[in-house]
Amino acid sequence: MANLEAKNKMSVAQFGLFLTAVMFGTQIIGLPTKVVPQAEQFAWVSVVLSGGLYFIAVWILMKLGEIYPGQDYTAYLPQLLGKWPGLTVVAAVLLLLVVFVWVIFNQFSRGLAFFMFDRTPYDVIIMGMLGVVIYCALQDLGTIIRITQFTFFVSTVMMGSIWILGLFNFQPENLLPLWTDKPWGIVEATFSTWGVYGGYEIILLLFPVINRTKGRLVLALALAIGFVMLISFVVVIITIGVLSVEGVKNESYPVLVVVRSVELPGTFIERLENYLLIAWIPSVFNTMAVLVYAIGQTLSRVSGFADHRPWILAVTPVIFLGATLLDGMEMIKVADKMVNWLGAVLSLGIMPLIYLLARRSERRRMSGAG
Amino acid sequence: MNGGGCQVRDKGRISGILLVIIIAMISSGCWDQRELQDRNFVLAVAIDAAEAGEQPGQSPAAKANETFAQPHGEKRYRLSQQVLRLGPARGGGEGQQDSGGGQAGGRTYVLSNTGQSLFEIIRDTLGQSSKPLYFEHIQTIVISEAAVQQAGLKPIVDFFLRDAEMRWRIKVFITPGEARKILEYVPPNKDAGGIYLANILRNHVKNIHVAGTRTDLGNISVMLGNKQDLIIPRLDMADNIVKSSGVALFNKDKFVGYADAQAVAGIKMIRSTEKSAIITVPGDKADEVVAFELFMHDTKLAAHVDGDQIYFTLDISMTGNLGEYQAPGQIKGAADPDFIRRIEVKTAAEVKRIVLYGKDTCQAAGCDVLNFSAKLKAHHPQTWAKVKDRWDELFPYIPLVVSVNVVIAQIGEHR
Repeated sequence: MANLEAKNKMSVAQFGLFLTAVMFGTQIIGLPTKVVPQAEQFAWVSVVLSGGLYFIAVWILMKLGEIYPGQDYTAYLPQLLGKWPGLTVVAAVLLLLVVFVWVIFNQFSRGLAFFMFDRTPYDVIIMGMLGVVIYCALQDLGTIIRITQFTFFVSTVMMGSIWILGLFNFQPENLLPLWTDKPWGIVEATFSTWGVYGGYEIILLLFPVINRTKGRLVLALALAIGFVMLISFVVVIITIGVLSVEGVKNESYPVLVVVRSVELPGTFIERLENYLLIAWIPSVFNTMAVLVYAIGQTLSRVSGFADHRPWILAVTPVIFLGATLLDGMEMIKVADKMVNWLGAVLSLGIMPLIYLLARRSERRRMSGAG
Repeated sequence: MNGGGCQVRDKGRISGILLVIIIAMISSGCWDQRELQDRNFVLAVAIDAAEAGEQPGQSPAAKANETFAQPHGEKRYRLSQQVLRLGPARGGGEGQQDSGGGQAGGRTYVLSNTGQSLFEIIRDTLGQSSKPLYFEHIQTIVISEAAVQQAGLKPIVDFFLRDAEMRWRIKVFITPGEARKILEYVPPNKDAGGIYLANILRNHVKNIHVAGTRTDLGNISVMLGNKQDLIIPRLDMADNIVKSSGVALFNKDKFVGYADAQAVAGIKMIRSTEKSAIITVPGDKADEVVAFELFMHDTKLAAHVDGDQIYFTLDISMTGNLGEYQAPGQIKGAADPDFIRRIEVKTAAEVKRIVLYGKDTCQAAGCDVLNFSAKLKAHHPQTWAKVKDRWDELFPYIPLVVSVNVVIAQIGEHR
């Protein structure tokens, strides 16, 4: 009988789904708060533009992987850039993932505490979620893939069904006028959406395990980014349509308020925002389990360990401390901004430069070999 | 060997069972659970000015009990909470006060307290309550005109918008009288008052005189955020009769006056928020009455800019039935096509009159609850950018050109 847990390769389609599950969900709740104050009723344009932008970013990471087939970024970056500059870039990616996990844990615990467990300390919520996340991240890649596939479908279907009820209160005129005197705001908002797509960096690590004999990877990436972009687009449109631009600016959790504004007549189902939060939990779990797995794998490969599990256990207190030490609204805002800009700079600045360098060095190698 | 294998399996099983029991014990229920009967459910809140007056026969000592030592600021509001009495409704007694401050026979009782911060008032009211006050099921907020005139609407609703226990769809009323009295009202069907009051507003779909669309707490929040003028349904109580009719008009968050039931009908028609309506017109003779029941409508309000002139057009197309025809002294059918046509024309004229009455009422109060500014901003943003600072001056003089078409599709079962 085949061992379903031992799996070191995944198909292109599986990777596409896996990537979607990693990117989707965590930032959806906070997305309108990030983009609407800057881009106002054109926030949907920023979301579409950022989808295109981060597709280019992930495409570059894929092309980089193609130049070094069979190797992940911890192997080829030191080769290409030299040991220490290469390790510095690896460290930057690692830092990005760690801070991103802190921010997600923190925002998750705050949202959950505010709406569902108002007397529960954030630390307790973080501890509970961290326990299951670490347990998942300690597993083999095959197990993690199966868990994310299952939870992704459950979470997405449930979130979508609840969320779409917001259409009851939708007013198209809130999306007007189709005119703005602040076009720069749209550009600014475009660059502040890294978190929505954040997590695609796992391709740097997992590229060698993608079995590319069947299916087109570029199409899978486009579909993954396209799905997240489409959901983000719908979320932004409905949120503005229900709450108006100024309404969104005034709410801490506008996405939840949209669901909160739904009154289902004659039913005993009330407080729909709590159901949305419950559906959101598996989605956050997916993202964090894979990100923690990626952190552990990166550390084990850099340090020459064969097993990622000791590193997962080693980073657990770092994750817990970081997430709990992000205390106070100002600090969370700074961490969120930092992770956003670090992600954008790495994906849209440093990685494209590395790709150009890799192509030049490949051409030289080819011409030398020729 | 086999015996050893069995022992190992048994140990494994026992460990598994123990693990399941431990997990079941630690994961069942909430660690901060509180049973239903251990909560006091607040169903409605009334906000009066602090000096709204003592209760009849209330002693100075009792009055002193309904307040607390405040470190700073003045006593601004009296907040009363209608609490659900768990258990069967009490029978009998009309108008009798029970020990809880409510009227005997009701399913609720009322607790009051005065202070400045509404949150502080609520927490201090726990000094009068044996159980924590729980707001997850609050249905209604009644604010007195006197309270809202003190500092505007925004300071009052702020707490309710900020607290996660509150609902987005809480029904809000303004009353010209004392708000607490309305919480003490015992509905004839002995329903809990807060639910009864909220359900009155849900009838807005059938009653054109009740403004219930986009007037809930959440809608008020959005309008305040957009610095828009807004309406809140008016609620009156006299001799144990409560009625919602008319609206309170707000310029941003400042109370500016009331509009009557006819104006509400006009406002709803302009905003296209009416679902149904009964429109009465005279028949062929002066003493005849014909009632048109609106079933469907297609309403389009459009902003137009012609040079410096801003004006609006309202095109209404209504379809409905002839619901009633009173023709005293004669037995006459209503099926005559010419008669129906005449009634359609009269109904259209009546709708136009109601619309213009609503518009004139709002313009006289300087309160743009007709969506004029929102339409102008959405469809003529450059014009809006030019006039937005002067909109309050311009609004009272903005013309509205109304065109109404009415179709009577049915005359009912009786011809």
